[in-house]
Amino acid sequence: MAAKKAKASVFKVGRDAKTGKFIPVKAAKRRKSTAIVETVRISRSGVFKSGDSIKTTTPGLSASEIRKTLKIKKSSVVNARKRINKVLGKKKASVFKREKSA
Amino acid sequence: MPKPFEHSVFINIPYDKSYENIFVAMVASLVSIGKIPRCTLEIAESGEGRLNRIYELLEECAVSIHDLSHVRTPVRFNMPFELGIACSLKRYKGSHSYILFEKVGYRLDRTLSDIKGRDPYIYKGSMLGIVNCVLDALGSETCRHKPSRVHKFAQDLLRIAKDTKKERKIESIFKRAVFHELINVALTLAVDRGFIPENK
Repeated sequence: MAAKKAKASVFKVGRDAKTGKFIPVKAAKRRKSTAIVETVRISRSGVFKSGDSIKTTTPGLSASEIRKTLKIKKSSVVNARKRINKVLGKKKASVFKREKSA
Repeated sequence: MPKPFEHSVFINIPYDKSYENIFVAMVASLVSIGKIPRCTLEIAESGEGRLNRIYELLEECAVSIHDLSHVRTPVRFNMPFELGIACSLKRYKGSHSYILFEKVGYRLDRTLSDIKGRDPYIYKGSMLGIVNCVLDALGSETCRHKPSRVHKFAQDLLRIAKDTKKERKIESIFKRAVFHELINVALTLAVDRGFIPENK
């Protein structure tokens, strides 16, 4: 199969027009009316991508900006903290803080 | 100044008990990359009509995620309907993009053949699958979180969501108040774990 052989993150694959299954590129080129050759990109995590390219170079928003957009009061952070401590425990939260600083 | 539009992501999934973990994983993944999860749970019954608010909400989002894997009874037409609205927004306004999610590969070719040519992200019904797909589709080039870390974050968020549900004695987490609390907790946890900053 073409998909297995390719090492680059962008490569061509053949697909059967009826079933959608992958076929060799050579066969797809030969069977012009019943198959197509597609360009596929595979990311590091191995997930197929197609359609719109939505990836941006702009960094995401900060927590306070998201709270502002969703009109969440900053005072409610205290309640969130209480719930986190209740369910996960304070110990666990501190472990992640250590991880973050490392 | 924050630009909410380009960071807002509309979540279109079935509000079914079996999709609670998927929904929480989606919220966790989006918050971890600094995106704003939006969904119809935000909409209060205000008399102006639910459909109008869905339109407005979709218009406020640059991207929408549509999970089209609910193909069993009870039949729900909300997801394909909202995908139709997103398609029309993309076609006539050009300022909207949509991403398709499915549990099973190639099934969408049969269930929604009109959209052939757009491959959905296949998450295989798992939370880790959702995390991988969301990070892959929407993750910024500058922030690269390990999917395993975001998955752990999502699992902890699910535990908190279940606790909230138990405390409020409600059937599902798909309630307006729970959604706001979930986002608030997710933001606090995301800051604690170093995914996003508190302030810029």
